[in-house]
Amino acid sequence: MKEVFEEVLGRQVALRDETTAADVEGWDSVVHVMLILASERKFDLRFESSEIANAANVGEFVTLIQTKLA
Amino acid sequence: MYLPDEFDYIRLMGLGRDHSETDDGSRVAVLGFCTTDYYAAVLRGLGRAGGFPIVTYEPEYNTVHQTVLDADSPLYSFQPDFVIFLTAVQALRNVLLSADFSNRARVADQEGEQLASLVRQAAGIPSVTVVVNEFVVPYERAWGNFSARVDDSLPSVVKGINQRLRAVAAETGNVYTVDCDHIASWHGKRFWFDERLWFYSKSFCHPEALPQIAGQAIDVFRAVRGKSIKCVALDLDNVLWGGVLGDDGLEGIRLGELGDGEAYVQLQLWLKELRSRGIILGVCSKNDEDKAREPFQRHRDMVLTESDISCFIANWDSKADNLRDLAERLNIGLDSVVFLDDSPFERNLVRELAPEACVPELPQDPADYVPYLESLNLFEAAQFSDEDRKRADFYRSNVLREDEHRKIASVEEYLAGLEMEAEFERFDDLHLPRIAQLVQRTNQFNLTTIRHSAEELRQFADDPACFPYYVTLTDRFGENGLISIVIGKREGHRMEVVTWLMSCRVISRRLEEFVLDQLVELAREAGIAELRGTYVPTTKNGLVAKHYEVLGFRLVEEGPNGTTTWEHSVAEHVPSGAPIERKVPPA
Repeated sequence: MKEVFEEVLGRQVALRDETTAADVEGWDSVVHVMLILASERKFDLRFESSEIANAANVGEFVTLIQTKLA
Repeated sequence: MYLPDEFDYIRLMGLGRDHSETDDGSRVAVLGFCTTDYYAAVLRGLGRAGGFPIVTYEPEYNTVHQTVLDADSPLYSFQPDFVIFLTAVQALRNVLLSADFSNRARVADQEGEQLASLVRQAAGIPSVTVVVNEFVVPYERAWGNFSARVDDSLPSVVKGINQRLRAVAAETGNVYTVDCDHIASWHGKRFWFDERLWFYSKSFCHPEALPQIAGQAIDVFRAVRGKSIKCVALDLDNVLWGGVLGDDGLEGIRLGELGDGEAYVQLQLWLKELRSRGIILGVCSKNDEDKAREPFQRHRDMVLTESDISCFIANWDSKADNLRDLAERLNIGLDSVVFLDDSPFERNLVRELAPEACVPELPQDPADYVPYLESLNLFEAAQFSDEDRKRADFYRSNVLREDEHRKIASVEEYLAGLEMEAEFERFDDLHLPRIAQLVQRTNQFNLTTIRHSAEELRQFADDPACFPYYVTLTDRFGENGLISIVIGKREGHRMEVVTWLMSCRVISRRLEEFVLDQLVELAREAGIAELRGTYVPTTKNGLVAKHYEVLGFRLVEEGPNGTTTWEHSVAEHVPSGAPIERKVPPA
């Protein structure tokens, strides 16, 4: 997931499960969509409309991806 | 435009994310009926990566009408060079589908007219170029295949609105449309339309398609500025035919029905079409020249003939040097040449040593050549005239002329033997499109570089106090077409030369002296005593810094930024004796 963030943001970031959009500079609504799309590409999966807005912090993002991959 | 593969949409968005309106670059207003952030970021990213820096202005979400209609909006103070209208068929379809079926045509008409009038209004911004994304034809077909035959079906009315946008483009002259339906089909509408992203973030397509859609707007910008690709320089072995001529021999190369030979025929047909459109073809091959010419002369499956190639270079020198030589002989910039070579070694060498040239990858499989090259949209046209059709011929005869030039010692003798004839005539409707094109494109031999709009040019033509003249040139090698423009304006006892420009393909022919003779004649007939001309320096027109001095004008004023003003007395003018006959055009 760290790689996805770094690909989208174009720099190194320190991430923990409880990191939210407010903690990461540049994580705005546009970057949020890019994170969704970059994860889809990297993990070869597809988020549903209802899931796009759901991930509020990094931990939830990771859990969501894990459930989808399971 | 071509960019290396690593510039995918995520990378480009990252590259274009940070920006400030005070940066240098072309000023582009992005007006969207959808979210503009993604598009604008990719556009700036492409600009940075592609050497065409861009500064954007984006109004608040979905405020296109207010922004364009309010003369005090920041759009106008931003003073854009380009305005892009980002349409979203997803927004349009809701309006159309909500309209009662019996009312559909009227609603579509209203929507189309509203957009058309916004576009016309934006096109009125001084020296702006407007790019409108056409609507992607929606995939919803209530009648299935029969929908195309129902006038008021969703796909039919959207196609109708696109027609109207193209009509606006044709009538205004500074409006261009991007064929989004083509790009969407290329990606596959199934991927283009990501409805989740439309619902969640009002994104008009999957961002993966953005580099292409935004890239094509930049292609239009470049074409309008005269910075488009003019010439394809071709390697021969494994590009125009399969195999190595030197090893396999004329009979052994794969072309036509032999092996994968059809793929090379497809590429040749594709190149031939480009040539008839005015793109110059050149050869740049490591081979003995006689040997390399053989297939063009004798192979029955060759589509291209020797006369299709404007400049043929085959030797054992470095391809970087040969490309420079080719550009020089054709008298075009190396940055307007695209080089096609199957060898990664040669491609990289040219990228290293002749970095101005455009060197795309070439796929392994020759069957992928044309689809790949087509996906780059390298040859965007800002207009198309009879001149363009003949361009490749002009350049070919130019190279022949040059070759002759090398044989003859004295330039004077050479020019005298060219049997040059020129028309020098007032602007007329027939020639205005080409005149407008030349005004937009000419960078080097251009004294003031004023980009007069089509409308202004027409006004000059109608104004009896103006002397708007075009010049054509023919010689014994063929026609050069309409290649020079001069616009004078009467100001009391003086004629002010507002614009004087000439195509670089007729440089060193003493044509400018001929033009001056004609101008003086006009002035004399009109009772004007003096000509006055100005040189305004740009990064491109150093070539003509001494233009007026050489013609015998005297310097009267030197401006702060290198601008110089010159005068020339009509009474004291000595005819130049340039070896050019003035000819009257056929009635």
